[in-house]
Amino acid sequence: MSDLALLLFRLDRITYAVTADQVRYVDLPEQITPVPQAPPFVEGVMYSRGAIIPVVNLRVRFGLPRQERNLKQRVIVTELGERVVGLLVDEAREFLRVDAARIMLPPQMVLTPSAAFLAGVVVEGQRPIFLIDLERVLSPEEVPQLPQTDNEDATPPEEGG
Amino acid sequence: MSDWLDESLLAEFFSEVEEHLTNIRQQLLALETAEDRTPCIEEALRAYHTLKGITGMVGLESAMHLSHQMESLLKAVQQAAVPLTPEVVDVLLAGADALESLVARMRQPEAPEPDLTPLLDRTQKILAGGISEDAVAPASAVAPPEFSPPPPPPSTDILPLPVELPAPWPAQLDPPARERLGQGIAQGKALAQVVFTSGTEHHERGWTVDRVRQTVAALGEIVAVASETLPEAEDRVRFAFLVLTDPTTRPPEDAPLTWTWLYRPTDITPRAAPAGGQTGATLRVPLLRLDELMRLTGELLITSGRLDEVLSPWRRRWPELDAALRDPLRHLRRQLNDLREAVFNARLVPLEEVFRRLTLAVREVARATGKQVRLEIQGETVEVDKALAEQLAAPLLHLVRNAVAHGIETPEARQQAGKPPVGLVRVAAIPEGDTIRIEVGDDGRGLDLQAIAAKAHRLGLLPELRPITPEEALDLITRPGFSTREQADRSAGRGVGMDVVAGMVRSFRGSLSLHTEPGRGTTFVLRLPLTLTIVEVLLVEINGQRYAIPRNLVAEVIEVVPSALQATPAGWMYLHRGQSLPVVHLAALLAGHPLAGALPHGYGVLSHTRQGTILFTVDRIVGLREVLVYPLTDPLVARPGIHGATELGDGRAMLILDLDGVRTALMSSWRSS
Repeated sequence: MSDLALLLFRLDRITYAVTADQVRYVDLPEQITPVPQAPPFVEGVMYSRGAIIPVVNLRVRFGLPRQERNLKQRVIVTELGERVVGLLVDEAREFLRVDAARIMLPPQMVLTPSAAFLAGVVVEGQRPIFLIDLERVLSPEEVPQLPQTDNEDATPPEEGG
Repeated sequence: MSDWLDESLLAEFFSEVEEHLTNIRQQLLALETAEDRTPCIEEALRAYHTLKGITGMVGLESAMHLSHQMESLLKAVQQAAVPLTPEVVDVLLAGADALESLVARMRQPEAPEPDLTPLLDRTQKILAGGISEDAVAPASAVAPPEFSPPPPPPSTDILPLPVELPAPWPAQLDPPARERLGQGIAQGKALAQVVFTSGTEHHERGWTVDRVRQTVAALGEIVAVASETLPEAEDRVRFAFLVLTDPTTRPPEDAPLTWTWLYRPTDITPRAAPAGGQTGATLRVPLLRLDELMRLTGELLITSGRLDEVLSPWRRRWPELDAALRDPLRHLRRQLNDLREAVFNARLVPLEEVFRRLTLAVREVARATGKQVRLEIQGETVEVDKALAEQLAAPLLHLVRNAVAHGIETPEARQQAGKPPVGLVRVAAIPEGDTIRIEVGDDGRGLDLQAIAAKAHRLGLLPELRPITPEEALDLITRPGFSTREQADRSAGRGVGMDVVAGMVRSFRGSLSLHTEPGRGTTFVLRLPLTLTIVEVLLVEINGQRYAIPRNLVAEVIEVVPSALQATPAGWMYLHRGQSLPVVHLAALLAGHPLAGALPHGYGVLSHTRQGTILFTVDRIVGLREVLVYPLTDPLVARPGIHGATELGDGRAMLILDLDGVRTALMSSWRSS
């Protein structure tokens, strides 16, 4: 019965999560300076608490249209090994503890671009929360290896049902 | 393993272990050339002793046991019970390596467990008196030349006594005793002579020689004993003991002994510090604290610059304010620069430490490959930023190991080629202004360009098999995947390849080049900038965005005069002082596509790049500023044309352009799109 602490965030109407041990802190997106020739999902670099960190626009990464800068957006400053990278999201608010045993593999039939970046899903009070695979998200490759699925004809169902 | 150890204790532990291991290696190396080896042995002994203690404290049993074995071995050497042969030195060095691996496993539990059995066996054998076949007698020609054979044991009249001693002592002291005496005195002990004359009256009271000996031994260390029969009474024997003891020892009161102080420490000035040991007051400061100091200093500089910027329009308006502010602001600026330099210097370390490890590596690889190699070092006193020194270690080790393993030929092959049988590997560090040039060269067979080309072709890195230039060879061997993974030969090192060397040089915005001549040798040249963290930059505006250009890349700044522009099929050229310079329109370049019909305008930054002098056009020149460089090493944003990023004090990150790389990197991707 081991608990896992998660930080929940939102892109459009879907709730995602990243494990709390990968989160350094959450910051307000200040000026983000674009970096020429960087992958399109890299928003740029940002000065935050004495360091300059790259920021990934998670919407772009997950194939969603860009959003105008607004006050609800946050940058989740994550750490992966030695790397410190920010994730620009629509909203980030709560921490949640879940029983690690309740986390299931992401549903195979989800064929949207974000599928490649999901590590699991847990249902909490009616809503599914999708855990992201931080390593894949931060990989410089445009499209990291998709989880194996040979169902190429299936139309992707609406996310969030 | 104890889990109650907290982070700070562990960090302290790791740093201490490193320090002691470094010391041990230094001392063992110094042994090969030191005239007086005693202090080296002692230092190493103390270090192993401490390592035993601290590894025991953190619960690292195997390391503690190993340290104990090494300590025993050193003690045996110290007491001359075991001669100091190259094999013994090997074992001690191997012990240090093994300890390092054991401690490293604490941080990386998935690393393989080192097998200590062979090492411990060898140690036991040596201690048991059987020296294994590897030991080389001084006269043998098999020993690598740079290890001078151990000096012959000093005869009694050669090794001087540290103090004047009355008869009969000088004749009574054999070399081990003299050594022990010297050590004791160096440790601050006093020397006493205790005389007891046997006789029935003492015997009745229970005073026999043995009891006297025990009594004296309880007070100090008996270095030598002498005895003589009294001529006037043959049943009486006079025994004299030479005892090393604390200066505060009080002679026993009720014993029939004559106690004479022969020497006490206040009479002599302390001995010089042991060879290779640290002299001068030092304070171990965690690098993180220096980084923090650096950062704070940088921010001070930035704020000072901002202050200048904010005040400037007001100063123009009010001359009295301007006059009043001039001196204080100038002083502030100068003091901040002094501070910056002082903090920077605090991080400087001599390259000596890095170079010492090279000596060890050369020895190792030479023995393993049956070659004879001499290592020549130049510039070990050159100081570089500690971060740079730490990063240099692995690449330099790799280059040096490669030179011995692949560059230098066997003694036979060398003699056939008319070369001396002992190969030469040369490592030099030469400061050149604000860069440092590091060369690693050998006088071996040179790079086999054909073999490299063939291998590159096989791996698909070279489309057609053709002769290649040394520059192309360098480019190929530094590609990841080129280095031989099939033979993870220990001598050339595992996990560090030429690609890592090149990567390290790149991450420091340095350059790597090579010279090679078949049959004559190969030299790798690394050029690295010395000032890493705070640089002076030229601020420019391009497409409404601010960018920084390192000042050392800027030769001149000019205003673009449209009439000096010439359109050519190869692009725009600019006529400047009689020279026709190629123009790079930075706005277009950074935007990622050629702006249709764009005429370079605004201002131009003249730069002497590797491809020649080029004029880069920008929209506006903002000014000069000192900035703190934040390297952009994350793969998401690391780009050849981008030197790093900085922050101007307004919370906005700003990119620092590397004009050399900007053109090549961006243009090549531009062409491919």
